Amino acid sequence: MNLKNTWWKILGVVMMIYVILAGFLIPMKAGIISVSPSYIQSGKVVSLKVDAYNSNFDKEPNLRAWLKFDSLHYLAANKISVSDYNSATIDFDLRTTLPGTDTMSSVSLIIDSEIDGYSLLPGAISVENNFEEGARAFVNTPLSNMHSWTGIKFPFRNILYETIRNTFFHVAIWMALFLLSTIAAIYSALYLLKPHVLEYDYKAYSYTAISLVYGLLGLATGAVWARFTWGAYWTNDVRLNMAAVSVMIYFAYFILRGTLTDQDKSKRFAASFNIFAYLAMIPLLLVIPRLTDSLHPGVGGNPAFAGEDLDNTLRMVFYPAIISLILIGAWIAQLRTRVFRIEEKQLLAEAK
Amino acid sequence: MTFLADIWTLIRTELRLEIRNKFSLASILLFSIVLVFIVFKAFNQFSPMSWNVLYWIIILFLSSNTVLKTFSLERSRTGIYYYTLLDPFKVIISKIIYNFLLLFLLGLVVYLLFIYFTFDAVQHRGVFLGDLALVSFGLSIVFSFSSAIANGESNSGVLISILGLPLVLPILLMGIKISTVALGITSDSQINMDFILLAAIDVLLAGIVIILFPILWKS
Repeated sequence: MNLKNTWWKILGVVMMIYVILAGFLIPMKAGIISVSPSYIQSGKVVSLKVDAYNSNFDKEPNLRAWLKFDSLHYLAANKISVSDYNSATIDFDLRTTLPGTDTMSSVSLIIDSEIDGYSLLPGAISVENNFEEGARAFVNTPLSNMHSWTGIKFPFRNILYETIRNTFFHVAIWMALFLLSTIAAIYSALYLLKPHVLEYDYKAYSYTAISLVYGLLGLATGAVWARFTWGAYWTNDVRLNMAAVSVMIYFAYFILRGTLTDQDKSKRFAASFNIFAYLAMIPLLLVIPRLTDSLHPGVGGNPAFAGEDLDNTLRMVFYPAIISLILIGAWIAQLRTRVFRIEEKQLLAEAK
Repeated sequence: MTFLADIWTLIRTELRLEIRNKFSLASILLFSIVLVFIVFKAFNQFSPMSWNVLYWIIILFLSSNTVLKTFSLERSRTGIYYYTLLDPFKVIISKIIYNFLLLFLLGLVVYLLFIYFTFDAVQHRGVFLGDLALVSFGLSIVFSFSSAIANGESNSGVLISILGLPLVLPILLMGIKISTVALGITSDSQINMDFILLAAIDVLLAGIVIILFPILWKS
């Protein structure tokens, strides 16, 4: 085995194994899933039942909780009674006036634990302000001495939960696809410039084939994610529709290649159609969805994975995922090209 | 100026051929009348929504059938003669413009037939006509390109549909979105943005086709 030519294949496979292992085995940080009741009135002591995820409430001696009214006003919990590792009942004394003059305020819940670090559920409950005569003034108990988890765990995001791991597959597959289809379009252009070099056509076909496979995988992983977060496998969203259109255009490329009877003509036409498909895909997937309303992250004013969302732990797996998918895609394309070469040799042998 | 003059000559030639061959225009007209009539008989009660959907579906089928024969002449020996005589740029531009005019006219005819058989669902006529113009321009580009590819194959009709339909989808989806506004089904403040997007898709496709066509023309 010649290591000089195979190192990138080994690298791709090793990275893929790393991505699968790390992507599925690294646990999530602790987080709060839900709080009930979600609507309370001030003027009495309220007890909130909290469901958490991946927490260690039972092992934590020094559990603390706050209600966050705004960035300046916090109310510490009176009493916390832990029922098991993931659920607790927290009492807050709301026999006070509330900060602000709104009748309803959306309040976040913050729980701090030495073992798990702090976790926050934004907009956990709505509090109705019962202005009462003679109520105690609001006593601000600011956050102090917060703990944060420093080890390697994936961030906990509401709505996403464990599906945040799909970042390594869904997002990485589409990114790899853009590079592979670009390579395919370049080889198609080269073939149009030099039609006597059949190698270019073989490579263009192979890279387009692996792009199509990645497109289908991207749609499938996206559908799983959409089912979990949006509630449906397919929604009438601009980006989803345009992705489907792009995949259909690439299907047409293969039909075109299969249908035309004249080999030479078929290759040239397919090459020009491939460039057409590539140039049509870029605005369809990257430009139009950005200009219209969309549910999909990264378009229509929604933030993509940026800043806090793609934290260093995710990056540690996400970047290797992209690289390994590109390398494995290139390897598959290389194998497909070899099949073409063997076929060509056989044809030549038969001709003799 | 000779460029425009040449294109004008080519368009006129196309038109003359079309008129001389009486059956082709008549068959397209008959096809559209029959389609509208079938739709009318099948849907006794029209809502603006079904009006919208059926109108565009009919336009789609009509256009794929109309543009089918764009390059049928070039298949024969005349094609070789043409090849030596003409610049591919001018050929594709004139074909696209001719097909665009044809499709736009057909769109108007189908619109009139719809008014005759059902009712006039269009509330903002300017928006509707602008939408029709942009969509028929897009359809003309895509189907001209795919008929140039499929030309000379035994099953060119099927091939045109397979190649063209996915490319037509974004144009048609955008067109239907604009036309729901024109029909007063939805009100959309982003209508100008949609128009610009549709025009941008058209221009992009036209650019790619015009660049790629000379390669196809050589064969």
